[in-house]
Amino acid sequence: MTSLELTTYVVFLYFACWFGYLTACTATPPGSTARKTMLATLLIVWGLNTASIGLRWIESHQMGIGHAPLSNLYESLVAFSWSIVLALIIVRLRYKADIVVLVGLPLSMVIMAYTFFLDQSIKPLIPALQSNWLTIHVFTCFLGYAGFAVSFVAAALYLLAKGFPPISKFLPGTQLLDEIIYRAVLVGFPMLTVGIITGAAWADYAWGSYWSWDPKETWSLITWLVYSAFLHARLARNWTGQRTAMLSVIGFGAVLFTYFGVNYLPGLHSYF
Amino acid sequence: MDTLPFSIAVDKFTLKRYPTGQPKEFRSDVRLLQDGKEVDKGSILVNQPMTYAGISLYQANYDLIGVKLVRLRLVDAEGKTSELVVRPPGSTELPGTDYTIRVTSVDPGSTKQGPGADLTVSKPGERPKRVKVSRNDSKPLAIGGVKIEFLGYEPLYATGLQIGYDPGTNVVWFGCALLIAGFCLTLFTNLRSVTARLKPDAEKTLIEISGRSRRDRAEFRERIETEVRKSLG
Repeated sequence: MTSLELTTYVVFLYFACWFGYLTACTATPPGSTARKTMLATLLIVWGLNTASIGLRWIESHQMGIGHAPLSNLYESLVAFSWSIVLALIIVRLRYKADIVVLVGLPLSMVIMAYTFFLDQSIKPLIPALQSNWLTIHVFTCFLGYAGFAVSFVAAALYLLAKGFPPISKFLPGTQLLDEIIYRAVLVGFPMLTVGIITGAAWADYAWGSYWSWDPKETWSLITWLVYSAFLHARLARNWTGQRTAMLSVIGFGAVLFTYFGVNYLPGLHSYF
Repeated sequence: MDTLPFSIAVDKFTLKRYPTGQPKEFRSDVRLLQDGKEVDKGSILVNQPMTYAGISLYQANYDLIGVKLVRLRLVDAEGKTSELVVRPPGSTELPGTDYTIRVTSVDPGSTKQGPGADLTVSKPGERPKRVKVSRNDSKPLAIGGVKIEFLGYEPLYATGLQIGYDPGTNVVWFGCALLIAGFCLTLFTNLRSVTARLKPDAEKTLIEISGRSRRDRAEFRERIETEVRKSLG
């Protein structure tokens, strides 16, 4: 089986998983065997997703143009949805909040489904990307993005619970959501920081300058500042609840623009 | 630093492409000279700079500045084929004829005809003629009974090297490490302390419990209160 076929199966399995999880959550109480089984199934499908990425890596080596599958929009989107599912599973294991998985998983599914419309072939690397820094730089950035995505899902649920009280009985307590919003940013922020620093290290090594103010660099700085404001407001000013939830939503908007928006602007990251 | 302490001799610039036409490698083979003596030599590639005496040389860009040579295939009247290399700006005799041939310009392939060259053909006592040969010519050009086909050309590139001198790099990396360490300290640790003060109060003892926390104070207060209540029963 090729990695592309495996990835296609994974997309459909994610969808089946989500449907099964939804059924388990509506039909059985929290902590039921059905819910736990669905979580275990999701973990297995995520494992298959990991395998498909690994297989693509191996395939690129067999083609003689070996590189980590993080080199174009298709590959980065697969990595993005992979890291989102990872973050969702961690949140579920730690906070037992099934609803966050139920709402977050479609985000991953939509991203994966979108990749069907992109060029999926394995391409050789252009000289600018031929570096081991590529793997570590992109990987840390995506772990950061995944943390922010989960924080965004919890923030959206929080605002929904506050805005439409009748819905809140289907949601976990706002206290727990608030905790998830904060904890996810707490993990995402240092990851993004390391991602930006490794990017600067790479730029300095390859081009002799840490920072060139290209659109993606500028927007990653804006994203970083939004989440620093979030953490600062939370830790130093004791902001919680609605206000930090809003900051998390704004921050994720900045993440999406950093990721997709700047593709339409020229710059050093234009190959993504 | 105003001037480089060495001079750079570029021996060769190569541009390799993948079969898809995408660039695969930009490489400049250079020698570094100090007072006319070679002090270092090596290759500079994108993502692989060369450093000498703290000064880094980066492969920054390249430019097509001319044509080294043009290759033509000749077929004479008897059907014998041979290859002719013309190096601009000089002119070359067209074997088997009185003509000389010179390359005026090269088209890297902007039209459907594919890559080709403009040639000037001249013969004593005749006005020079300008003719064009392209790879996809349907009918070969004929000069003085010799058919000429375009085989290819070798481009002449200039390489663009960037010079970098930054002795403070390690300071920057030290700062980055400090930044990350600072995050770990502020984000993942929290200094908390609880103080219990016993005060005599007539027959009883008054217990004052206070706590200090760098953050999450509301949660800390709540926890102390519940813990105290629990221990009081």
